[in-house]
Amino acid sequence: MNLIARTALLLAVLAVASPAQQEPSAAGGPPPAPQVINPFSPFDRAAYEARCKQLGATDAHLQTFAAQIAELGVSRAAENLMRAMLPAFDAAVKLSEAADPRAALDLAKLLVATEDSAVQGHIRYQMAKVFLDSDDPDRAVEILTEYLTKNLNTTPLDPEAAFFYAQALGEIPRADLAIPRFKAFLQWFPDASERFRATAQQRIAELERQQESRLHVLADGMKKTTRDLRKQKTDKPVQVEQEGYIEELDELIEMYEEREKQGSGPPSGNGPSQSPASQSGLPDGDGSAKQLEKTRTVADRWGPMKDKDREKIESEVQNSLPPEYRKMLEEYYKKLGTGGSNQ
Amino acid sequence: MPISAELKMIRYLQERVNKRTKEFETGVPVALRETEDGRATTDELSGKQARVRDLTRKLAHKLNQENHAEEGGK
Repeated sequence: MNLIARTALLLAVLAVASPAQQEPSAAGGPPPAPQVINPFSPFDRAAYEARCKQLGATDAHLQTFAAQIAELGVSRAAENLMRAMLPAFDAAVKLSEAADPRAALDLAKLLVATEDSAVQGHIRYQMAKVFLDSDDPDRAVEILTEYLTKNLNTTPLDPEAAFFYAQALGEIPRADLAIPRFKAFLQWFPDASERFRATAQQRIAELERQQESRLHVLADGMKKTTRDLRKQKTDKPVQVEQEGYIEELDELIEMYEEREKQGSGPPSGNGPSQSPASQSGLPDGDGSAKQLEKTRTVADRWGPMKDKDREKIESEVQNSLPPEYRKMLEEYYKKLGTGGSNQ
Repeated sequence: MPISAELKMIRYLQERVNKRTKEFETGVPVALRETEDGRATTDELSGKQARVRDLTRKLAHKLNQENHAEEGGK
């Protein structure tokens, strides 16, 4: 499934128009833009702790979790709780922290081995971090789309997942999709870390400037062509430039049609939050994907790996994963192998 | 008017300019281009391209203003 189809799937989940809003106005004008209903619920700590107990959390685990919420924030505390409960998850996260190329594979294997939605949420979140770390925002969008459609409201990681989803879209770069997601993040998580909120606002401004500048660049090119035509230059180079304007306009038309369809261009289109999250799990930090970078990236380690180690990973991708994750990781490792990381 | 509709209008006008440019290149012999009619044709063509450019620039400014108004309204 390509990015547009995947994103359309997610937006179908996130963007719900009420029937009244979809009907034409009494004056016969066009219907107002559909409102996007906040799909996030405030973190339910009691339900989460009960779920963890079923998964094997001890009283000591939960006491540590409670103590760490105040110290580290609820998302870090939950990550630590999950790692303490599930040694295999802890081992995979350690690989991720060490920028070991095996991390994505081990996380994917854990993901397919569990049916628990909360555990899946933690694993998908970690996989997204691995992909962003490796400068692979396409794969990050894929796995976060799964998180947002399958694991929503099961962990305290929702605010970060929403932020990084927008961040990954912006890095692809799909400004048209990223801007409304950043705006939704700001609207739905008013208590998120100020650093994350400031980064979201900054990215919105940057992405909007990029969009504006595309039209200015287009107009600048047309200015040159205007001069060329006045000089009677109508040959192939001029015609190729003119064709380029049509291609650029086609892309812009598609982009704005998508935004208008989502009804999320202007902020009013998003509508007020029905139930904004009261608690944010966002940790301190600058909130950018760069924050996830390590001194040595996964790509840096993938290249110098011994052939037999690399082949072992590739063989496990082929033999131990279902088709959807096989394809995801094939593309991920292929990109690593071609120097996909721009670090 | 939705931005996409304005862009479509610009695209339509650009397409017409492109068509006229090709017609001039293939249909007007070099010897005739320096004539008064030849000059008038390319001047007109240049004027049409300038019109498309101005509409594109205006739309860029409009988007800029909308974004600033949006930021100011927060």
